[in-house]
Amino acid sequence: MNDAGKTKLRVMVVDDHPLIRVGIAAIVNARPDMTVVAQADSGEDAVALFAKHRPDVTLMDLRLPGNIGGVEAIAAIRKSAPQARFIIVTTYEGDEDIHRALEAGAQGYIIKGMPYQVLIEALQKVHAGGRFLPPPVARALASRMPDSDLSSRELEVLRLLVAGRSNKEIASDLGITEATVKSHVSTILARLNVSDRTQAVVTALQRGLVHL
Amino acid sequence: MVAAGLAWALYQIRLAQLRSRFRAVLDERTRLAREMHDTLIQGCVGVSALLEAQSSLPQPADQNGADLLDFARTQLRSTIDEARQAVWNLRQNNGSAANLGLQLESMAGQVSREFSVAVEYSGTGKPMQVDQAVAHEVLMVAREALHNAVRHAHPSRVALELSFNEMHCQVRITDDGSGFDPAALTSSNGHYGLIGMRERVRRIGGTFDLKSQPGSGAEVTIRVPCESSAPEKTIPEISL
Repeated sequence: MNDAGKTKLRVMVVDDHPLIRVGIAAIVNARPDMTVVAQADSGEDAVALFAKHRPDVTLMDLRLPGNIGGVEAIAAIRKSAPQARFIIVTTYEGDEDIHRALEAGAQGYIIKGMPYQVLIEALQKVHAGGRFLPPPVARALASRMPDSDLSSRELEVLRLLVAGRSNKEIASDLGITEATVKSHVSTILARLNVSDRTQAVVTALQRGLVHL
Repeated sequence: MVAAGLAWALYQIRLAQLRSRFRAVLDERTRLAREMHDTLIQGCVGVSALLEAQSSLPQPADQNGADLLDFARTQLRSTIDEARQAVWNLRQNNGSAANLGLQLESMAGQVSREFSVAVEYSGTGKPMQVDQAVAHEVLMVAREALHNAVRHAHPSRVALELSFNEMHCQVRITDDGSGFDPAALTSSNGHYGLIGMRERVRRIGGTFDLKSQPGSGAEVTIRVPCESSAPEKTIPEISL
């Protein structure tokens, strides 16, 4: 009979990169007060395994294969388990990615490559009911400017810009006039605070507004 | 009228050529960004996770092994950071001294906030041109030196000074913390890191100097040559 009354923190790891799962599981399982109860490599698996194992905290990657990513998986799980707690573990550092993840219900956000102590601290803090946003993440969030949100149409145009489409091609793709496209592009440049299309593309990718 | 029509047609052709060149470069850049991320960065974070896991296990009595592991972890973390920056860095081919000052100042502020230690930046002398690649290395080494100071020396105050004369650009990091004996650095407290910094500065044609005594803080000086006159810009990078 061990640790009378002490229950371990039950963790689920969701990441399609095997080394990440191995590494994180080793860090968590080495601690006497924590244990990995499930590992998933897709959003769909995450939803199914959550229902089966009911972990206390889920470590979730943002980029997952299949039809649903980390954000959608969180939203799906929270529909039937609104008290579920999530920490994002990702290579994405863009403020839009961070914002979307927190909006979807994540309580923590860690960038991959972190020292193991950061992972442990995040698990403890989030399990205790708090949030965990390390300084670089908090900084990226704080740098978001008000009135810089793009409308869904503008986002569509931006995606096509990233794909290298010309104004004429975008107009034809979306079934609108070239003049309208130019106007959208102007607004996009202003909202993103950049001076040309290429900077708009880079900013969109950097911030996570569009993913490759 | 015909001449005007011809001029217009040629203009349109030229425009189409520029656009397709623009698209080709953009495609190449985003392809590169994706590949860098998917191969290099993904690979590195995977290995990093394993090293972190190893480090989190109870360590055997072998201090050398533990030190090498620590060094591997920190170097890998720097590599990942730099790869991330390189993915998005739209560096121009001319160096800009003004940028170095701004970047150092911004770094001072960031470190200040992150570690709650006063990091004071100052710039003196007339800013000279510094090659962009050189400026980047200086920034990286200065950042490592700054991190060493705030993490290990427990200073109350750190000074980050950028200065220029006609020949050199110099960055000096001075702290009033616990200090140490440079000759006595072992692998567990910065020996490898120091070798790394010295080597980086040497490679860009500069000098790296470290002065410290136990109890009286430390002073790191990075000095690199600057260009005596601004080079003519040849082909500007496609305004991407």
